[in-house]
Amino acid sequence: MRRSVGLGLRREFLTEVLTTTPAVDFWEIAPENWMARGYEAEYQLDKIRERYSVSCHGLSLSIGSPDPLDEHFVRDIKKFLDRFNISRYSEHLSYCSASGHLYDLLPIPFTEQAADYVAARVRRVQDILERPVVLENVSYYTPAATEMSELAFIRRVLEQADCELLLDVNNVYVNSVNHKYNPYEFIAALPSERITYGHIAGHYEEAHDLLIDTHGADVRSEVYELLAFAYQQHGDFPVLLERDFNIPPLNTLLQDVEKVKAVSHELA
Amino acid sequence: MDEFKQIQQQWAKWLRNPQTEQPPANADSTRLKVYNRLVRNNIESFIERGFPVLAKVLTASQWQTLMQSFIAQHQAESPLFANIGYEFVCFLEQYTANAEIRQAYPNFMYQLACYERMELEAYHSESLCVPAETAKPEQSFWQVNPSLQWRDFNYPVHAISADNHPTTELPQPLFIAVYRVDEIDTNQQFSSAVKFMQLNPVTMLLIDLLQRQPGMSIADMATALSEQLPQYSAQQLEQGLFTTIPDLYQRAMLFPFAN
Repeated sequence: MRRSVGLGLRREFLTEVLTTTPAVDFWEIAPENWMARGYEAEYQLDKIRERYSVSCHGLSLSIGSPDPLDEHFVRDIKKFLDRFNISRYSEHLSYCSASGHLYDLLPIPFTEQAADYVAARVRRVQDILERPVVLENVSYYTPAATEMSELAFIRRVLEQADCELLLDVNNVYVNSVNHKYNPYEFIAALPSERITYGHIAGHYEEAHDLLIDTHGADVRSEVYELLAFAYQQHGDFPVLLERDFNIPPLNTLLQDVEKVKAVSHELA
Repeated sequence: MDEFKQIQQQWAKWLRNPQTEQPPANADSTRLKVYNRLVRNNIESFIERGFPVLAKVLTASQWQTLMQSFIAQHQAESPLFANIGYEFVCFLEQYTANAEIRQAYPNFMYQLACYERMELEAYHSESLCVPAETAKPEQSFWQVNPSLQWRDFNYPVHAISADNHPTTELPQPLFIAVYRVDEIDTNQQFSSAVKFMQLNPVTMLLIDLLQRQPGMSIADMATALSEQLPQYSAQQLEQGLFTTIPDLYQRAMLFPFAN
């Protein structure tokens, strides 16, 4: 079966995509970067949708926030997804607001109470969107509470919310170095039936024991190996290559997409 | 409050104010600093890109204090990155209401920020800003270009640069309109340009009137304006509008009214 591999759509190369229409399985966009951005943004996104499949990957839902769920915003997202006929919506198992937005992803305390709170909010979002929410395992640099493990926390949220998992293999790798655990054991313990989407990206090595999830560098070979292991454990799923900083020419990114496609689920 | 929420609020308090707040307990201080850096750099880069002139005219220490105060004091409501600049202007209005704080910065700071934001607001207008054709401007009904923003300024904000800091207020307020003009060419390529226009007080009244009551004819506008400008008769105003309206239409500030 031909594996589906997409690329994060950036304004840096949007005009080139619209004029050269390269072969890409799908593009991923952050709805927050396209909502309320004026007529031109809608016009361009309509052009993209005429030719391509698009996934949405949210940044500001703040599903784990102590602030009330912004249902007005969730309804705006639904309007946006409906307007552009987009079915896949993923978000981060994280929060970015507490008494107002901070615009960065923070780690939810790993406690049962927090997991159940997040799960209830995910169910509410799924009801409003009338779509499944695909939650991403996020990278983090220090945990906020460790009453339970990261793995147990993720599993509990997924089960209680009955939602899907976006497996970000770079985040697993980054966390395994930052928090000294075995990334293979972590991936093997995730529920196969909930993994419907994947992300892969590059990171920055700030120190030998501290990796920063920048999406600003080439994907490391260790991360490709983790993706191969994830396919072997959980079967195929569509994967997206993220690149948000130090963006190389589009052609280089398209070659990187081919590298992701070439990752085999057969063990070497 | 739930215990996990208390932890989250402590994180947020510390991230907003690392100098004065206690860092979250049981978290590695080196790793916490990574979050402090990420949050600050991200917000600061959004503001720097949205307000390039302001970023240039403030000293490094003014800029640093301003960014720290914005992060510490403002509770941003919008989840959209495009609105961080709007949140910043709201913050500045409150922040500079305090006379002592105002004195620590150039007196034009808030108005310059408003001016710089207007360009993005015009650009983010949801409407297509292509004026319809009209053969007879004098017989048409009119509306304002839907992207048009205007404001009065007490400082020549359009002339401020790193080398030009106005220190005194203008004797008369300055009216500036900012608006977008779109074009879709024969190959279906979209392009747009944001335009700036300094307006005289009568034209400003006219724009304001038409924004509130779109669909007026020149005669309607002359009648309505004569109530606000008793020094002119409706006939005199109508004469003037026969020149002004086609001119504003040429500049794509006014569009023929479409139902």
